[in-house]
Amino acid sequence: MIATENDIEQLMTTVLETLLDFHPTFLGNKAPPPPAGRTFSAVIHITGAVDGAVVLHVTEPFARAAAAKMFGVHPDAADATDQQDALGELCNVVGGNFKSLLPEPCRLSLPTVIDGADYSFRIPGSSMTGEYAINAANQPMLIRLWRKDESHATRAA
Amino acid sequence: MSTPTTSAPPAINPKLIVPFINSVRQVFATMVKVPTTVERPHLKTQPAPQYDVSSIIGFSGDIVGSVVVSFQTEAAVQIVSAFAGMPIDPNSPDFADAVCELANMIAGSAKKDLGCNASITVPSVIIGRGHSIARLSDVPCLVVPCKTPVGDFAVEVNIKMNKPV
Repeated sequence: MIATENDIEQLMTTVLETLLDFHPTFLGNKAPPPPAGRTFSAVIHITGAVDGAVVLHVTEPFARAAAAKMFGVHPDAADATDQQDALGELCNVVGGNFKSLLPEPCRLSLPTVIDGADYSFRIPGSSMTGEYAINAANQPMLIRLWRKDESHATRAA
Repeated sequence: MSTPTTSAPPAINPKLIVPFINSVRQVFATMVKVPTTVERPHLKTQPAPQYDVSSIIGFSGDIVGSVVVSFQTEAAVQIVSAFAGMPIDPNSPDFADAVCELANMIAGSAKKDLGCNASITVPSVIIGRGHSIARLSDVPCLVVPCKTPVGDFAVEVNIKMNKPV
């Protein structure tokens, strides 16, 4: 196992408190039902000794709250760009911290943010190796870790 | 830490785009076997276009960013079925696999032509009506619209050099 539940809790607490002044509570690995309405997924991919991804799934109110904290605006004034940029930065920092738990050498891509309602996200040929539910800024947040299956055929690029 | 800006998006390096345009043409000619017209690329603006099916592949190393291949549902079904040589149910795992494989081929072929030390990531797939993929504010993003007789799609190239060309 690359990271324990305790590793993830420590990582997320540090990042959320330092970056956003959020104080998360952890709900274990029991994911709540997916929220209705607009949601965001911020994904950062990993290559190297470990191939996979870290994905943050959040609600629109969380995205607004994160943008408000990060850019010093009122949540109602945080537009779509602000929300996406804030989540991208959050994902970047989470990914960077997570990478420090990984065997060397590993590299990160830049984060990508998906915006929509009622969509699915998956990585074919990979398995979800961890799922952690958090409450931050009075909103649910889900962190999912994906890792490429060892048995999956390697495609030459 | 990023800050929002209303300034113009950064300019895109043409050397980074041509390999992707060539790759799309090559992959669709040889693997999907449908004639594809690559239309004039344009910078991605807000609000971002909405799609039903997208595959994201990241780049790391000398080049960083992502490439996204996106479709509306009907076009995705038609193109993926042409790629597979048989009808593919959009609700089957094979559909997502095929979409990712297409994106993987486009990114992989472009990576070879880019001729730099970069890795491409495992592809992700997003399926859901009306989603959009945000562009990073400090990274140029070019949308390459593509047309085929069986449906249209777009390739979004959101990458930058980590090192000078």
